[in-house]
Amino acid sequence: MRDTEVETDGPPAEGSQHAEALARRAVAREAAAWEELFELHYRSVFAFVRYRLRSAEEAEDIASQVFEVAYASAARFNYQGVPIEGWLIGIARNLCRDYIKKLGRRGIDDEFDDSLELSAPDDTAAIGLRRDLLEAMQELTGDQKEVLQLRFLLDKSVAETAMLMQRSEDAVKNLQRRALAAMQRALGGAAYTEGGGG
Amino acid sequence: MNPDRIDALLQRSLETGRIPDDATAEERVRLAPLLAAAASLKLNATQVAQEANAAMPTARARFQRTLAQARAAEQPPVRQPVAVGQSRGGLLSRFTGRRGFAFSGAIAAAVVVAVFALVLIQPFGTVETASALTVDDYVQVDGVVSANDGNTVTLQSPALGDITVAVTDQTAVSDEHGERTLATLKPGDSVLVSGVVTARRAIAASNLAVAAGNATPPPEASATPKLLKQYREGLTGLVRVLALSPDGSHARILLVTPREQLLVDIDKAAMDRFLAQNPHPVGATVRVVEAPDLPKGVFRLEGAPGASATPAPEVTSPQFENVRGVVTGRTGNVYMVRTDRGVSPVVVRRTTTIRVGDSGLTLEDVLAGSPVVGHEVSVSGNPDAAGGRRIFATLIVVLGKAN
Repeated sequence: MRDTEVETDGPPAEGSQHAEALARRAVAREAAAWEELFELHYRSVFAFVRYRLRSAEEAEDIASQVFEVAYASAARFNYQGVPIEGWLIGIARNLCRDYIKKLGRRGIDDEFDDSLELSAPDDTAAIGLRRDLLEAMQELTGDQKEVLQLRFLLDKSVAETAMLMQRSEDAVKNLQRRALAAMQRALGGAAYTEGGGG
Repeated sequence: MNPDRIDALLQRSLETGRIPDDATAEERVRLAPLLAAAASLKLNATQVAQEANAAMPTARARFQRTLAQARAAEQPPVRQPVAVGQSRGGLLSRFTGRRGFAFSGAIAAAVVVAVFALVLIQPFGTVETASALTVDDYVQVDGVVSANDGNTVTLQSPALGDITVAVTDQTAVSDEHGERTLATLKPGDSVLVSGVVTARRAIAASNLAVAAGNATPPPEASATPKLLKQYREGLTGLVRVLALSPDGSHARILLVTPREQLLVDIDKAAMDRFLAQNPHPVGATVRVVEAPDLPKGVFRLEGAPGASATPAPEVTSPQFENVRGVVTGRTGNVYMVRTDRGVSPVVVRRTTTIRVGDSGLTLEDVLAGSPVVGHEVSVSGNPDAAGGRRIFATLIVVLGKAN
């Protein structure tokens, strides 16, 4: 995992300039820019949504929708030092929330279970994510879930996480500790003693 | 205990991978479960990354399709050329209707001249340029592998030229001996691909069958296929591409004759009947038939007289396995089909195309399971890797109730 002390590749100013130029081209709906953004961020977006949904197929679909929605509303993106990845993550968060609400209205136990079965015919081909971890994630608050995803699944530094969550680095460290404690509790680990968790 | 101190120790532990030496015993007790939870997450992050990598080719193709559609939509409107062979009713009404009289004589004359010019360019008046691969259509197309980059295969189609085929871990790949992996596909392999068209020359493959032995590279694709608009007596040829629209309402084949390549629109019900009788449509020799009850430009298909509807046995041709029998039950997405050789489990996936034909059922009925029990089905797909009777279906045609 990268952390705040780890140097980034290349001069920060140069990277920032490229990111800004890329964002401007994206706002102008330049196809090449969007193809580059897709290559840069699809995996991150996929990972972000993966822990909020029940299957890789759903994650693939929602992650794809993120880019489609982003492209369609590119003109509304206002680049002001906020990385475009943060915007994509925000769209992903909203799409997941809407999707889960929709499932709730339809009744997860009937239609959704059927579609899951249809999408995963071969158990041996499926990647064995730990079901307990997925379930534990569902017991966290939105912020807790997000900080764990950004820090440990997307490998973001504290500084990057702070920027994406629009919080201070100290707040991220505090949230990270509380989220890990909540995760450990949800996994059935030893109760975290007063003062440390949260 | 000071939370800031714990935060700092946790951060240092995450950076170095071990609890700092200056942590007290009590602090270590508090840090250990936090680090364990972080380790669990990181372990699963690797698996999620694998899933993301597997999803990339299909997702990339889908996004490229979105970009292409958006670009097309943003283009300024282009005046469509008058298509010879289309119904003239609309055009004539412009001349005879009230708006038509508003045209100046010169403009009307120019349009008439343009129409005649187009007629002269295509003296037979039976075809127009069209596309064989329409985005979102389910297709079956054969060809020879010319490149394999680990995620996509370049397929050299004798009819269409180079096609990019995205293969993921969800794609069923097999040959006569059982399962194949993408990595084993090499230039020269003769393959049959089914899947969904994602861009002008790109397919996300759901199933891929490999023929035994190497094939001779196909010749260069000939001129752009033409869409057959008017019936021609005795039109016979080889089916090279099968295309079915997502809602099942339209069906099209690419027919190759010694002289030309034709796209032929086939009536929905006629296509269902043809598929039920011809489980290997790609490679079949067929005859195009007209019917008075069909709209202009839409035809029926028959096996060509004097020719087998399926390829000759000596021809090395990749084909999906076919199972025909009666559905006896469903468990999850696996349908049990009783055949003459025993029971075959048929795995239905999201990518499977189901044609309900004249069965009297809807797609929802079939997916529900119970209503389809007792119906005969014709299934095409790849056999199970383990060599069992299980079939990963790409196309299912549902027929009537068995007696």
